[in-house]
Amino acid sequence: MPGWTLSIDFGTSNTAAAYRRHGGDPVAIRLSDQAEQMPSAVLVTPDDVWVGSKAVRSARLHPDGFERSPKRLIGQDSVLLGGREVPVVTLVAAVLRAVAARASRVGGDDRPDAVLLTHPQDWAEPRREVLRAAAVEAGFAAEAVRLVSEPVAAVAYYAHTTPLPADRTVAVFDFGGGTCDVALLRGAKNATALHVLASAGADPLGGDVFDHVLLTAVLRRLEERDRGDLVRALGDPANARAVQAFRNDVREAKHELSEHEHASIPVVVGDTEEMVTITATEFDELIAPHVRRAVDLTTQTLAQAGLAAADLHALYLTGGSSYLRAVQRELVALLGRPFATLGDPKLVVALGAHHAVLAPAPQPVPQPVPQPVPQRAPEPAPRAELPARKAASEAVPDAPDGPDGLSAAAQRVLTANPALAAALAATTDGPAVIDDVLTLVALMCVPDLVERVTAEPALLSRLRRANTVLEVPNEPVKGVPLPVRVFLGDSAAWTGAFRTAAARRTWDEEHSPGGMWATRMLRTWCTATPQERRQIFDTPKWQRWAPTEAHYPDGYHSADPPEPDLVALSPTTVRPSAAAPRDRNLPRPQHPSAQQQPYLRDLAELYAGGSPGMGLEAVSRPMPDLAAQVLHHLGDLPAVRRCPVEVMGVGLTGYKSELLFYPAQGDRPPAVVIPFPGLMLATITGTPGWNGSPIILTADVVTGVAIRVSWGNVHRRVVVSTVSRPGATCPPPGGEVHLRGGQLTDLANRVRAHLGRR
Amino acid sequence: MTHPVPARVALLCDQVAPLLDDAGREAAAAVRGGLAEPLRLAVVGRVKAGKSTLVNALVGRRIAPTAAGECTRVVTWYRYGAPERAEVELRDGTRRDLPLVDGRLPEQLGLPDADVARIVVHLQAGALREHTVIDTPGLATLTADNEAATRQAVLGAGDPAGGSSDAGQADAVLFVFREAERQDEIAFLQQFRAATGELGASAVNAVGVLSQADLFDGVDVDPFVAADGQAARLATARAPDVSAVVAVSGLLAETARTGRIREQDARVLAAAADVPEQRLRLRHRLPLPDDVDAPALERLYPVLGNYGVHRGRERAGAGAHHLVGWLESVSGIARVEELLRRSLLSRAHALKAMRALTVLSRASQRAGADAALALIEQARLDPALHPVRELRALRLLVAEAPGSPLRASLEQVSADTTDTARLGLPDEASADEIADTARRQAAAAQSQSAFALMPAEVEAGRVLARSYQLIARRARP
Repeated sequence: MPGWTLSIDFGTSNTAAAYRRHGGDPVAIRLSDQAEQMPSAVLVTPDDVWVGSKAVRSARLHPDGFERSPKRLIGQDSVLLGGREVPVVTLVAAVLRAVAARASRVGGDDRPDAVLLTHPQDWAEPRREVLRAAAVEAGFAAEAVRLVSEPVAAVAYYAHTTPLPADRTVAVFDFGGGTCDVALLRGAKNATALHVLASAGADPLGGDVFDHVLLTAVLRRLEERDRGDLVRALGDPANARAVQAFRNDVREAKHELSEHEHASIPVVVGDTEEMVTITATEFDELIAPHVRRAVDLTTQTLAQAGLAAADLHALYLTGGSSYLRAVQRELVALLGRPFATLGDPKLVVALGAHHAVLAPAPQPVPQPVPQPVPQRAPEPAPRAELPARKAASEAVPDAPDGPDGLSAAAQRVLTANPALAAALAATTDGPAVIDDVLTLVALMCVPDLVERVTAEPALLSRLRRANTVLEVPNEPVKGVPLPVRVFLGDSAAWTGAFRTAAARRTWDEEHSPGGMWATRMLRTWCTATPQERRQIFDTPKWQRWAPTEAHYPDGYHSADPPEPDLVALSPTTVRPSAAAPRDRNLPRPQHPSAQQQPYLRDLAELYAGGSPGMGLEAVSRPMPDLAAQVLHHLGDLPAVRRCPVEVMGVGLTGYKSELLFYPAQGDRPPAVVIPFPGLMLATITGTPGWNGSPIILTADVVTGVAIRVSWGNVHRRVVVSTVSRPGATCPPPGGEVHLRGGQLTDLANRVRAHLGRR
Repeated sequence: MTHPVPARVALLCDQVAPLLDDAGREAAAAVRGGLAEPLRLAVVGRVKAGKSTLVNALVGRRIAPTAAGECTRVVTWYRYGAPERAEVELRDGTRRDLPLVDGRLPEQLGLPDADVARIVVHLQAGALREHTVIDTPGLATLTADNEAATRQAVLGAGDPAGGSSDAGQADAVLFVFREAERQDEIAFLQQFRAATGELGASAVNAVGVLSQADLFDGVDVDPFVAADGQAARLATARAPDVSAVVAVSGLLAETARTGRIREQDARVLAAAADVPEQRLRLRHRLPLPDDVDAPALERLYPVLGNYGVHRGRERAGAGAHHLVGWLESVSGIARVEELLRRSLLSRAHALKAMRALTVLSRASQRAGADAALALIEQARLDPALHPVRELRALRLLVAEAPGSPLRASLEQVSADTTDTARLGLPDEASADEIADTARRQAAAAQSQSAFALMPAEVEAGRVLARSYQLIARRARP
């Protein structure tokens, strides 16, 4: 039987473990039925000590014997649990023993050659000693037990795949269930010789806090909805089981919100059930102060060591809470560039412990390795008016990307400018620094920028950090337009096409100075299939390739001549592939009313959307007719139940649409559905007001139908006003929809009659 | 040193000091020396918030200059000592005697501010036996020049280079709020918290007073009633920063406590008793009735304020003694002292231990002394220093879940009283009774911890259970 090594990351909230067979890679051990990890909780019953999920599930039975985080007790001799004085070592040993039992099944025997226990950086000898004693009590041989500090294990995990250059500092940001710890380490030749420069922790700050914040928000929503009775029922000890279920659902929802745009949380007490929806944006706002604290902790730690964020070679994330998008966004902003996450952040410490103690064979560190591309690309802050759908950005064909993780567009620029590629490869940030829409646009439009960066490769990182504005001179230049030269300079067909002054003039008139051209080209290139790229490369016919939709980069400002155009680089990265092809999904109304719900159910397929597809065809495909889709999903209507109208904004002309008068059918109450695609601005605030399609007007959302004169433009309009339901997006709280068409009195009466209003 | 908390900290200082560098040894010595001293209370507030007036009232002497002269721009320590004297400590380490002018600190020091480290005043004032008062420069905002001075003087935070400056700083903070809480006052508090970090003001080591309560705008309402309402609102709004806020009139308290009312002043006031208040307000335009000594009355306005003069007239008939008694009771100073006793002095040992542990940890980290860190951790985990853990849990709880039912129990347990008082048992309770009650309460606290939603509550329940466990163990070892 070959020897094996076991590592245990005994955490504040959760415990993870990994094993490694001689010479192999460390593998995580599945510690509970649902997940790799298990809760670190213990439950002392009159005749036993239960641990993990079993302890959590049964806490209700012996509440005075339950301890969620035995790790926090480490240091005190004993604890009164379940009426007994239990030594803390025994509790910790119980958890370790449970891990050992699972591990021996995969390890083959119960005598691992080494047992690696990880501990927080700030633990001094007395607490480490407790951990050691617990391991011995759990049945491990004393001489096999070794301790590894958590940040050292994390760094070792990353350093194993991409060796650290000597004398560079890395940061470990460990954001777990109970605490947030930041450590700065500097490596020598191998991971075992890591030296901790500074460390700091915040306690409690982590997943448990976020759970609580989310839970309180859900309860608040219920109160607002006049379901305070449910909130009070949850406070009743008789409903402990319901509370438990509710807490689990909240935790699930939190996980969901790190990947989806909204999550629905059921609140079930007895026979009553209410659904509360929380959007990702709302969640981000809720947790913002706590995320801020975590980021401030990082800043303070850096200050303690006398370093700036820019001095870091890399920032490594570990712990479950580092999954949250808000956390990643803030850290990217702090760092000014993406950071490294590899694999499951919850397992990094357990896996890395193996690398930390087994000094890797000394490897030459040739060049500082390019910044590892994050597995989960940090997304730009979601724009309020376009709810970004994960489905869309994931379906973007990222596959044609190069082997080193660069987008196709960035690859193209590097291929066309080999000198630039060589210069960037020698920097610490690597060529990844150009893989950003605005940076690429700047390279394509700012005269001499490519040359300057080639001469001074660090320039781009500096410009992106400093958020500098670059001027694009509006002077007429002859020959091949700069954007074409930078992007397709190695294509004889494209450079040849601009030999004549006339061709250049035409291009200038249409595209000069080229920011728009560049952006569209970047996105077209990333969207195109490899065959299409070949065709674009060989055929200098812009119009054939340009997708129909215009993309405006946020940092690009087109000035009126002779003022120069401006490009502002940003520390945030927007990958050229991130935005195209456009999301085809319709925004689903949030917080639907009871009567709207059956309609939304029948429209579910519509909201699910579909893959945006591949290639240019997918990008330029027109939006399908919404009315037809609605009729398809909700059932066809005779002409007499359809009534053409104009949906009015502030202007004199409205948007052509129609009213679909759906009668009561099955569990669906009567409704007036307006298949109006897209957003309607709330005219007073200028913010998107009606964010949902189609507009479904049911009796429980309409408060009045009136004919009003708009004094802004002396129009008579039918005004449908709606109820104030906080959080609802369609109709938004207290919104109005203005309609015109045919006889206004008839129109108004018809809507009233249909919705049962007199 | 019989109290277990300072005894344990003193032991730690002795153990750790030899492992540290020079600066660290100095810090450890200062911490050890401070253990036997009264609690150090820093009075912090914005410019012209009435800090010095309040300090005078607390000390019972008109010693602090109240005009915005140089002395109010320098940190001043008032400590118990005889003979009464004042000295200036300069940044270069030298000291000079500072002659008092009519028993008061001079308005001018005759030295550049920048050279002065602090002024130390030794007074034989009973109040200073309980706490040393540190008067700090008024702050416009923490971004002003004196930021560093006050920050360092009060909390010794944020100065990684200065080893010795860690020592000799404040254990607790008295915030002086002025009038209504304004937006910049909130910002000030937040900056103060951010700048001071772990040792900063929080509900366990800070209380607030709303000064100048006599000036409150009460339309048809007594200004003190209006001020009380405002103080209650402040206390709710600033729950994480201060454990309570009370309204006080520093001016009336100072006047009452420092013997500024003579019998003849009472007579002057009494003579004006029947003059309508409106008439008094217009005294500069309309002459007062002949039986009122107008110049003498005018001299009382700066001493008593409008409120003191106008409302004091009806109390003055019974003589100066009666008037002073009324001034003292109406000023609210007794409530401030009660608050200090209840919230801060009852935790003095734990507060000092908390600061001592932080100072020692910093010194050890700076010196890279792992053995020292291990000793400090051992001390932190020692049951004798459990009160420090209680304070930490309490601070968290008040910051995150001020309405938690665990708060009252934690406050009760963390106060420096007897175990019977901590459990709410009569003094004569037997050891078995104490042990049984404590074990029962420990189980209850652990259950609350199991079902609590908020992490701070979970920790509070856990710490509370430990407190009861230790009580049980003390009762029946």
